[in-house]
Amino acid sequence: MDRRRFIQAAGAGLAGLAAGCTAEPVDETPTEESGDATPTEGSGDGSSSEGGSTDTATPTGTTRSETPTLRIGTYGSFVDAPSTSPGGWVKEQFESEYDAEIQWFAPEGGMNYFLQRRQQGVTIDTDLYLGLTPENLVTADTGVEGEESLFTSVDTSRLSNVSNVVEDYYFDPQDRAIPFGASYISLVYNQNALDERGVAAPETFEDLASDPYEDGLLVPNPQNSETGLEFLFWTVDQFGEEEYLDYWSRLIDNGTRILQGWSAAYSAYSNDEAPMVVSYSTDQVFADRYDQDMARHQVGFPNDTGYAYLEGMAPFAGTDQMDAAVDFMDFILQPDIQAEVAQRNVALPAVSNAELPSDYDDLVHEPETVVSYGYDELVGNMDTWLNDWSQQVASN
Amino acid sequence: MDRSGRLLERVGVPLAAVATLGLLVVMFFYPVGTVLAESVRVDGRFSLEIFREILASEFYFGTAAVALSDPAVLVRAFPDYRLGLFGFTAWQALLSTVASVVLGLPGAWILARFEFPGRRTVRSLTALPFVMPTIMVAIGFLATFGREGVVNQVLLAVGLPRLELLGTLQIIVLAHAFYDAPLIARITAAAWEGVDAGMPETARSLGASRLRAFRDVTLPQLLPAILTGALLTFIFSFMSFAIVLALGGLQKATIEVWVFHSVEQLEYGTAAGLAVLEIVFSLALTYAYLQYEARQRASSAARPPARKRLFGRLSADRLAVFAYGAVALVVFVVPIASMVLASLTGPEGFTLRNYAFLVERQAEAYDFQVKPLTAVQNSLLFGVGTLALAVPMGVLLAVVSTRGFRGRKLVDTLAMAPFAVSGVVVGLGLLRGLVFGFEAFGYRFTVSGALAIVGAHAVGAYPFVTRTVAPALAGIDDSMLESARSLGASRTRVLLDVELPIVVPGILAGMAFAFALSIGEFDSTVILATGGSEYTMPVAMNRFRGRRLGPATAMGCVLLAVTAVSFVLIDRLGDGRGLNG
Repeated sequence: MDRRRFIQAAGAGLAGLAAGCTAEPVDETPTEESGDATPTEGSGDGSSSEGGSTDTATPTGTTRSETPTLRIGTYGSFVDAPSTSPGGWVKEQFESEYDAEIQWFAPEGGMNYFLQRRQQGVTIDTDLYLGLTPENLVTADTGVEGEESLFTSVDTSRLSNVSNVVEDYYFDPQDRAIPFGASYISLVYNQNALDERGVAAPETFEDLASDPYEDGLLVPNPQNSETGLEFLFWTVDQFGEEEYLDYWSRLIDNGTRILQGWSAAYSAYSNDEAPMVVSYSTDQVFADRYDQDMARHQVGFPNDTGYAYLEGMAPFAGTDQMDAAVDFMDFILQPDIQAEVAQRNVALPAVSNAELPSDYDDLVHEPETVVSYGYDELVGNMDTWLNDWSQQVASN
Repeated sequence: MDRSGRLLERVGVPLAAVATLGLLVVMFFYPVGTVLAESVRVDGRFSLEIFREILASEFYFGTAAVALSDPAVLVRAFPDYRLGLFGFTAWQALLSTVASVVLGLPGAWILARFEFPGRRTVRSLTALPFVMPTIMVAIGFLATFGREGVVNQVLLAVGLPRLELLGTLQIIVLAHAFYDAPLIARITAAAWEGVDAGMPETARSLGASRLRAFRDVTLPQLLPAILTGALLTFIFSFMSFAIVLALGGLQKATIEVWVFHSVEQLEYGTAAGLAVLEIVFSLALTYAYLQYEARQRASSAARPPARKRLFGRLSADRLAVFAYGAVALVVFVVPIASMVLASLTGPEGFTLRNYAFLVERQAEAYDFQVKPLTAVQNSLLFGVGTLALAVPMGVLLAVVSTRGFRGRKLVDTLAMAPFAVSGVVVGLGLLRGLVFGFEAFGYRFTVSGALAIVGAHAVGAYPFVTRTVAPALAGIDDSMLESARSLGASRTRVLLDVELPIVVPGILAGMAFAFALSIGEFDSTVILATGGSEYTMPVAMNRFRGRRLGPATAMGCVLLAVTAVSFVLIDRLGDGRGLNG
């Protein structure tokens, strides 16, 4: 089945008149929809395109020798961030080593974009997703409602450095998602502002809800920020399912503000609206790069804990570029690639044998105890935790 | 001429109507309908369960919801009624509307009644706040009204206590007024310019005081425009989402915040149900307003009044103008100036680094990355395309709304639907219905890219034109049209030669906001441009948002500069053609 062949439907009605508007023959039995991997009757060319390029409509035997295109879905800042983003470098490196071409695709909705395609019965048209979080995976699995998973697993024996992946970073019990990076959610605080108040750095979650830190904390809204969401989970871990809402009402009563997303919260923090913000423990890497006052970029781990922000990768179940996808996964786990991607993404590598420059190590802080909810803990709980919390905060 | 005129009339108008309807169906009613349908579907069957749940929920409707099953609560809880999400949303929208009218009217008065250097430029720039992405406004507002902002520094310097506005209702209301007061000023000024100088003069010669002459003669003629502006402001504030979360925070959540949350949680039924209730509320309000508008018969100016020179001997009204100018400076100019300043400063002080970033990006970006200049070009192209579609659409619908036929008010109300539908739902609908495509004749059609973006913008923008043109059109004296027709002019002729020139100030005002809407639109654009190179300036700005806000603010200032110049050009174009009153 040739899913990527677009026929320009010139003259085929209103839609066809526009560039960017296409018409594609409807497959009688799209595999994405039917949810099973067995070849379906009536789609004779279904298996012949496996491993080969499907980008051209020329039905010749030469397709196999053409460079395959690997379309990789990811989040925006991986390919196009204002400071540094690994996307361009990764593409160049990979293409110089392998006979394959990378096409980045960063839809606004992130992983949800692909889930919505599936829910609407439209083919995914992308081979791999890079930057999958445990929450993403739970959402995806819940969203397919018992049908075939959006993602598939790979033969890990083809991933040469997989044995060095940090054990704690695995989060998928079905081993579809392989970790490729991590970072820690933490507090970032302004030592100058706290000095003015005459208070020390916050050490516990209770500190954040206490008088000296009144009106002190900005949190990105967990409803639309992964950072905020994982901070919320962190409090669930620290206070328990029964108590975390109590803690939050104390936190809110103490003047904590929940702003639109990470950008809004961080910009308010930068404007001295509050001395503390929920962000990442890599904050000083940026501060160092732009020679900023380090006192304004102190990293804090309340209760000596930090929440691990885990990023994985997994091929989409319907990919016809499995070979190239596995090549890519093998490539991105190589120690030198991991080290470079981590620095360009301002995050941590997922493998233990990546060598980072010592000053980078100095600037990235790590907590004594790592907190992180795995798949099994999130499934069935995640939405309830968030919904209960949201209703409590927004009630008026 | 008459033959071709008749042909135009017989073929042209119905053709335009069909094209308008077609565009509305493809770009709006179909995609939005697919989403809204989920509000009455539970487990694949028709059901009103979702509405029943929402209406009975204390979270959404506060004490009123509880009273449905337990009326005694109204007595028990008095006077501590809980508003619920809907109540709070309506309340903040009402406050925002009042604030916008209070801030907008004096602006209209100055624009319409005074002459001063740069008046036309100021009038052109009234649409500027409309193009500003939330994050820009948030940055500007924090720098102005924040803890360490300009206003607080002045207050502290003169020994007054510090204002803590972040996270309060006040700052949300102020931000909504920042967006919408200029809209009210612009629409009202256009109407004010149409008030015949003779009438207030006559009233005064008959012994009426100035205030009395204004209240009894001028104000009634302005009221349709003021109420149009107020209605639009209320609806925009009612549907507000991003700015509420950026400055007010989740504690000040509106319904639209919950629509978004529900979509993210894949609870499409709840999202659609909430969106339907938003629509019902907004359109009911629109309908009520249209009832009122239809009863108005504002006359158009045979002789526009002379403007007063702003600079001259100090008088009470000149003093009032300067006082208002000071307020406008704080609310509108300082936040914008703060954004510009933010783009030019870093931790080290003054810097051009953020602009250097844009230049660098332009030169070195990968194919799959966003380039600033492409964004500028796309934005302008889409803006012009939007005008080309939205102005005829808007005028056509305004004409339709002033013709008498059964069901006219319904058509008129539905024409406002693009303003009344949740932006989140429109986005989801476009994604599902157009980007993912629809099946017909054995093909799956997908619609995305440039033309789709222009179509979506035009659909979102034409109500501006309709609403600024319709009141002026309704105000045209019927006897004037009848005499023109009795003298042998075709209907099209009458439309082109008599009606259009009268409504031109309205069209210009509508155009400015239609263009602004296209330039500033983010939600639909980002969805229709996904994976392509049709990104616009707000989309680029969003991409340039990183740990440092500098690059995004620089892109934002480019957006401001480009649109400011465009607005001035659009208005000058109108002047050059002698289209201006």
